[in-house]
Amino acid sequence: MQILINGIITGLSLALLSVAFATVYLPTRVFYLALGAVYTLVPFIALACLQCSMPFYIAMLAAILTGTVLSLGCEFFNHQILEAKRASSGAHLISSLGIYIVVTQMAAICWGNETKVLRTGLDNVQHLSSVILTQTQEISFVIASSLLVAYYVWLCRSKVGLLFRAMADNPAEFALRGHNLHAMRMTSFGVSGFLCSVSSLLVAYDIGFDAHGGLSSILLAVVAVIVGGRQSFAGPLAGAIILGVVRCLIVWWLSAQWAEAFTFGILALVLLVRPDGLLGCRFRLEAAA
Amino acid sequence: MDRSMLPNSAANAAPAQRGSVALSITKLRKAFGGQVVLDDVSVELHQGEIVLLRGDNGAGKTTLLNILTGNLNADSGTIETSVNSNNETFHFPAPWWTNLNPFNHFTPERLSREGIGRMWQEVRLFNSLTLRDNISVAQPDQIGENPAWALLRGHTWQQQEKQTARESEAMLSNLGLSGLEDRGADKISLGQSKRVAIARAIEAGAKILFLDEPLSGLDAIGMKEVLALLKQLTASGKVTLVIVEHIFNIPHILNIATTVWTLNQGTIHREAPTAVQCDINKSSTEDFQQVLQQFVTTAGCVSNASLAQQAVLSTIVPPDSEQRLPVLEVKDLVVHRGTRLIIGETTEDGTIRGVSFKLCKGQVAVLHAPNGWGKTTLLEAIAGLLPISGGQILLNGKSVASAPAWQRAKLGLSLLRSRDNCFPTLTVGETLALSGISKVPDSLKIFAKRRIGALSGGERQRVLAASTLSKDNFTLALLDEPFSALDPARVEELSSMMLDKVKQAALLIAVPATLQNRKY
Amino acid sequence: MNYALHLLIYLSIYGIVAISLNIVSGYCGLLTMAHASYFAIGCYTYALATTKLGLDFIPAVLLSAIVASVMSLAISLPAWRLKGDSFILISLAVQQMFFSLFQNWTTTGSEPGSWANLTNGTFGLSSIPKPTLLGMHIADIASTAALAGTMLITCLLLSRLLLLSPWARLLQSMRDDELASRGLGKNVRLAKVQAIAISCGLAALGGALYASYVNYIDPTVASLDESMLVLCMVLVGGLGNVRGPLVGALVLIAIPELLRFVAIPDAIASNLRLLIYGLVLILMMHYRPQGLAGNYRME
Repeated sequence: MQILINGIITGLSLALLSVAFATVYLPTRVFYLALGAVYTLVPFIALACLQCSMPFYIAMLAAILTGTVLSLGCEFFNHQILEAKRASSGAHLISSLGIYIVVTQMAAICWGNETKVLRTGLDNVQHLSSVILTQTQEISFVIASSLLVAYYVWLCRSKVGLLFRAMADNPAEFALRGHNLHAMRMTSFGVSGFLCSVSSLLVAYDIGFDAHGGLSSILLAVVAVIVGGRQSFAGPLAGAIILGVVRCLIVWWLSAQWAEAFTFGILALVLLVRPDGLLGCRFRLEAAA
Repeated sequence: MDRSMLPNSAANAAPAQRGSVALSITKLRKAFGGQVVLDDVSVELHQGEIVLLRGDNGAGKTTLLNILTGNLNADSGTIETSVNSNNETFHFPAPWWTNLNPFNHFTPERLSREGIGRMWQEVRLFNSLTLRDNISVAQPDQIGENPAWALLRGHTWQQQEKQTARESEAMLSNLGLSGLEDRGADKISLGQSKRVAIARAIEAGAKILFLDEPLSGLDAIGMKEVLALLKQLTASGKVTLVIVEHIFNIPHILNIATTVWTLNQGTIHREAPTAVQCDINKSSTEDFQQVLQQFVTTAGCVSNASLAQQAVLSTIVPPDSEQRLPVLEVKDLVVHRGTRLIIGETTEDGTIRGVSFKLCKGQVAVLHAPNGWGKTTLLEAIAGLLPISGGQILLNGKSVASAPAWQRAKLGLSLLRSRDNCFPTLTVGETLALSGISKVPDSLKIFAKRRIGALSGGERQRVLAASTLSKDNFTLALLDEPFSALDPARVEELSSMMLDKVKQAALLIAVPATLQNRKY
Repeated sequence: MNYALHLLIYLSIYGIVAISLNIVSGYCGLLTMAHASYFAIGCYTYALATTKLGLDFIPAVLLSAIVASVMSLAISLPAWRLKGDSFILISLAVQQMFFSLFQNWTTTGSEPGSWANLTNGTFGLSSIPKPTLLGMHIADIASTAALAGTMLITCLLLSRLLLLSPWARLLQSMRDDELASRGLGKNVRLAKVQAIAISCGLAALGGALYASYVNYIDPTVASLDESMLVLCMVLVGGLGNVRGPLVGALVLIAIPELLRFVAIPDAIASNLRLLIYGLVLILMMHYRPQGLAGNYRME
């Protein structure tokens, strides 16, 4: 039970990240590794703000804002230009990787390579019947789940959410219906940057952060997207929670070192056996094509 | 081959007059998710035959071709090949134990080695290789294709390679392409690339060659050259051809065909070419011709203008069209895909002449052009999905040549594409809402809550046509093959919807050319 | 002088690895992130073969290449079905699994190199002997450089011979249009297995050379950063011909060395080097997507 709860809570903050990745990947097909740059930079900004003795909430907001702006910048200065040149998806991926490397190394030069913490002092621990929860876990559960609920409500109920799903389905038809593709792409990068920043802060608050963990976190999120199914917005959520629980089980039974191997083992298995992911299904339309 | 030598009822002629059976298909069946495309197809192909495979759009011609070339597994049935006195039988569904052997599957490479070759509709040459290498690579059993021998027996493969290169060059010069051996495959004309693709398949040892629309998209000269090559191949009698061709080009193929296979409702009928000749001369009016007539009676007279090559633009001009403002003006439009010229013609002095036409409010224009002419390319270029290489596009008097697609849509343009045209995960209601239609039309109410991806082709087409034509503010609708996949009653419904809208807008409808075009 | 020789050795090692990656990425059109794993397999096999089995240089190197070629089935079999993003992901998965294997095949208390403690975990394997070739003990840097240079030139000639052969033409046809190539009767699955095996074998050759030069290896040789570095090399140099990867290796090894002449504190030098790699990648994608000397553009 304890493991299950831990897994779900880890899975939820991973879900924020994988939803952030899918938010860009589904509509634009950009393999957005630069999200790792956002993930790395945000806690450093928060830390810098705290060190300037800003109030905690202002510091967090400033960090999230920076993350969102960085993500928008990636689209504006890189992906949009490549898209206009009709560059291949490989070019998007590699340039995105380039951005990741540049930003993280700059962060490392400015703030050093060591692991840092946002939280000072020990955590409060609460016992709920047989389950032990830390205060940090509670905070991250509340924030992650409420953000995810808000995201899915926005996606399914609002006008912009509809536009968003439409763009993910078929960008060309989306433009033919008279909707501004550029603006919508910017929105997706912005939303993605926002979700990623929050996820990054939650993890950094819980276990600390350094300048080099971004890529592996993003890759974990990508695995969750693939495992869950990359055609739909529900896939990443399911995939992330499954991964969160499985990883907690592995840490419990074996050791933390094997978590990566098992994660990528699951990825390989899913890619070979169900390339569309666990939630993936083919429509009549695609079957006939 | 001289067709008059054959008896009229060639299809029923005694087998003695034909070669031995090269390919025999029994009870072949294929369905896609409940939709049966091929049902009980049984037919024999004899050596030396030239078969024309015809059928309506969506009748399953390409599906059959995909199965017979190993690109697709059938659901049930049997295929027997006997080329080069080598017999092979493939049963469907394949028994499970055949899956255990990874090298003995029903695959394209296996069938190719049995002597079955294919020319793809989209040609598919290897673009990064030269023409010489495009043909050389097809040569079977090259020593140097084994990396170990490539390293250890350098002298042997280099000898063989010289021989192969000579053969390829001889083949190219036979195609009239000598001097272009080192040219990249993406830098030659479509007609040339089709001939290279045929030569490539022959080089790979094809004895039965399937050709998917070998004449589509070609100008008169290109067609003549491809036909000459096909005649030359069959004159030797060693190659058996099965040609899929669109109705517009069928008469060309009938001149060389010995047999016709007509694919209809999932089964094949053998027919004699002469019978088919009469048949198509008789019945060349199609549904949309009647639709066209309908527009004419309400709105005025028809004027026909010839665009590049065999395309005709029939515009229905209302009586008072003099005072009307042009909605769409296309001036000297040139469009390339990659390096290949799609819209526009190269004139004799080497310059490129674009396509020009004009469409006013209240007018309906029907663009008939053969498959492969570039109808879709033209419409997508006007709508802003493809970049143009030259010319002007004016929408309601404003130049939009550099505006993105969504701005053009805002200016009143709407395009109904013929494929890849929907949002599979959205519901019907949401799709309509995207086009700014908040109220679902009564005729579509029954599936308002269903997802587009779960609808059948015909249902989907109705939804999309409605979302294109019911937009409030559109002034120009471009419709790419809007009547395909619809039954006659729905064609009626759609055309009356168009009639309704034409008062406030202009319509440009692209349809595949029929034989009637040939009169113009 | 020693410094120049040191650079030459590094250039040879990475040149060999870049040449090998070009066979997969440039000629099969598959971007793989697992190449460092095969480099590391070369390192570890060499280290174990020399320290435990007491093999000479040449047998040990050949053994590394063979082991890596067999292991390459882990990415070549999935490549039958997957391409594009999916293949990149599966190669990433393979990379991570090998990395965990190197890191976790360890039992405290057992002797490093024994079956229970094959890789000695994060501590790595040390005291790998200097190569012995035909009875000669190659210990000083000049003869090591000569050995490395010879191996680079051999690999270059091998790859040149291979990449101008009909086999490479078959690979190119498969890269351009796999279905059309199969329709001509080509066994593309076999070709993929061959290409990936040869490529991984060559990478292991580079790995063996590396292990013999530095005498100490740990799991970081198999890290994702290493894969990326090699990928940068072929992307910067250009794919699809023989000289591209060599140009890439030269550029990417030269850049950080030039930095030494600028006064930069050691602490940030490695960060700065990576930063420059990143910048180079971005600029390449914008202004020269086919690489400095390549003739194939990654799709």
